[in-house]
Amino acid sequence: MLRSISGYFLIIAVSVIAGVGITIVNGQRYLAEQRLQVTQISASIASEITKSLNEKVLITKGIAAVFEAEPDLPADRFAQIAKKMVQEAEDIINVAAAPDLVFKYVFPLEQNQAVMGLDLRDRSDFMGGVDQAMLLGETLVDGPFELVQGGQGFITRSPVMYPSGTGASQGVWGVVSLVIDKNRFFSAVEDLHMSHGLDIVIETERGESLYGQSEVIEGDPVLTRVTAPGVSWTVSSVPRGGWPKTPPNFNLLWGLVALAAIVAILVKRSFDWLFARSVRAETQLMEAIEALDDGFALYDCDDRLILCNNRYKEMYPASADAMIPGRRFEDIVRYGLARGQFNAALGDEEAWLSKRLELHRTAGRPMEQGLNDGRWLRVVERRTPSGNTVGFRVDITELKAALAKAEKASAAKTEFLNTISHELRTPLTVVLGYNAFLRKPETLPTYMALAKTVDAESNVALSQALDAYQADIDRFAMQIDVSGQQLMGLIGGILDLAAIEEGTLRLKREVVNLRKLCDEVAAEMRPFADKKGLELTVSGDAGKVFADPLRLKQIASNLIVNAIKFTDRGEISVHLGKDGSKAWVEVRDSGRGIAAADLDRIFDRFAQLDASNTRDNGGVGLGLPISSELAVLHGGRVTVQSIEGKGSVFRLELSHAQAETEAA
Amino acid sequence: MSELRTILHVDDDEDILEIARMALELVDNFELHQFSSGPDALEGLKTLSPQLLLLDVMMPGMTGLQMSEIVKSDPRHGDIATIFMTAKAEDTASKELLDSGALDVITKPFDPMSLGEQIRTIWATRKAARLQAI
Repeated sequence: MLRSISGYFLIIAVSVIAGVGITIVNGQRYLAEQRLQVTQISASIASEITKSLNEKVLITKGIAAVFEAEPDLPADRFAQIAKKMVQEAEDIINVAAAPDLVFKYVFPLEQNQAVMGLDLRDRSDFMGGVDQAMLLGETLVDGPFELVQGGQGFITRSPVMYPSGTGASQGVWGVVSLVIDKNRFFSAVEDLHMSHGLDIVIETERGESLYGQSEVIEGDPVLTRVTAPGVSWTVSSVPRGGWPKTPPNFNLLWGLVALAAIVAILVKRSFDWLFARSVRAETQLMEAIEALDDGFALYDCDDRLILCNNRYKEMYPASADAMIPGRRFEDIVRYGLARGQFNAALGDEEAWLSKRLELHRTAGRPMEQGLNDGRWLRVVERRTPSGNTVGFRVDITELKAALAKAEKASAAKTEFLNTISHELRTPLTVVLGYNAFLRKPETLPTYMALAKTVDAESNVALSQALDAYQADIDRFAMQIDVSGQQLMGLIGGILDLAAIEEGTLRLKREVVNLRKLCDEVAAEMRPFADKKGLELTVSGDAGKVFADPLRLKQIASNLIVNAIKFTDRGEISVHLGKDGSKAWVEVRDSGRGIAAADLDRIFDRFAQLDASNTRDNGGVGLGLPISSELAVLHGGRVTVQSIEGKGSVFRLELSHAQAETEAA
Repeated sequence: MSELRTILHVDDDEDILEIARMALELVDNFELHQFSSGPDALEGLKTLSPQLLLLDVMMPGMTGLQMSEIVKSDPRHGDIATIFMTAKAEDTASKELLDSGALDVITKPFDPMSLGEQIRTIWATRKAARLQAI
């Protein structure tokens, strides 16, 4: 949190510093631009002044040239020339010529009459300039002066020399002067600097102010020079109101700096949020991985370890030290291999490693791995879409032990069932075996000898007694046989159910003709039906099925025996048919039927609906559950429909599609 | 294929020996030699030349399967066929017996009246199949 806040302060500080720096640089640049602009305007003003002065100098020179050519120029002719030359110059007060330094020509004469006849030698303030012009032979600008006409002005003077070759003595003819009104002269400049928003002051070399406000000098002015013959002035210029303290885009600039700062803060905030989310997601992922009971590892495309949880390291204690991010899978396995960690590798390490790396590369089927500490791991490796490899390790030591225990228990159970079966069937074999001879005494030589003796005696009473005795023996033998067969059925049923439950009951499938099979079963059952006065018929055809014929007979026998048991009058009809891929056998009886409430539990084991049935009808209720389970093993089912008091229909459904394939 | 006449029957249960004797001698007219243990039967085989061994599986000391293996390993008795009789329940047990080369496995209890016929049928079908395979 503190780090985040300090980040924001840093952004603000950097923004302020950047703003200040930019402002300074921008201000300097703007000031330089301003000074350049003022310099250009000031130079323009200086140029205008220079130009105006040079015009005056040229006019003066021109008129001087006229007098040099015609020293005795008539006054009116002078007036014409002067008028022509100065008519457009509003700031010229007059043009005058002073032969022998006394003014005899003045234009315009009006308002300048005081000049006429003025002897320059009487004006000591003028004579300095006159002498200098004479000395240099140049036209010079002089002033400012207090003018005889009033006001101040500048005077340009041009010496006029007698032309060479004339009769006059060689020397100075006089001087031509041009008087400029100072105020009007500078009025042209005023428009210029005022329109550009400048304050200026114009000074002579001696520091004498000619025009403008002297305060300008204090405002760090731009200086430009005005140079004309006899003139060296300085034009000092500053923007009106002084130089600007800040550039005009100051607020915009700071606004942009503030905006940049806000954007930077928002970007940082977004980055912080994304970073925090990323860290949170990574933390959650790591916590989730660490919370796993199973080992987890992630290897990159180059098979280098990216991460693994502590459980993973715990599962491989011998190679845990090598599980450093960046370490190759092969190196980690080799590390464990060198410490004898993998039982299956012992004695053939390189071959085992080669196979292990191949499995890791293909990341295919799961495998079981035995470790030297006695534990077993289930190893599952999968490739991710980005080419990484995810590895899971599940400790199946207990599962393996439980499985072994279960297998042992299953084997013990099987052995127990075998023993029980043997111990029950062996005496039953004896009982039923001897009983078979009781039922067919004619197979016994002793009986045949007795019968022969009785016949020889011709003793009717003895013969009748023997017949009566034989009738009893037959009846008892029949009952022994029925009870023995029931006991056999029960033993067989219990063993069948046990085998189904264990999953050890194996079907010996072959193509079976269902009609033929039902006919055979019906033939075996018919004596029992006949005994109860019931008609047993078979009709229809269901084609062939791929099934275990003995087990199908068992189902059909159970269904028909049940029908006979619970039917006192009427008939038992076995009807076969097929529907699409289904073959079916229906055993329909006209017996007592089953109550709707009991239909759900008739396939439950030992579910004789009425306990008295056991005694009356034999069986303990295993026939239907076994039939149902056997049908399911065949991929079929046994269903029932019944109306109490009217009869029942048991239906066996099987698929005959496979049989057709096998038959083909 | 010769007709089946001579059978050597081994079972540790005296009653079953008696019932089998009545079934095979009285009902059918086989020449029957019976023993109540494997070792006794092996001893008897020194002088007897039965065509078929009818062996109970679960016998103390030596099982029927063990006895069958011993007989098969003796070149003098190489062509004696075997049918096992068992009261065991497990299908896999029957499979193991058949895999040992037996003609078939008869489950107890058997019907004495049809035992002989059952054996003759097995003899006729399985023996023929085995000869054909050879």
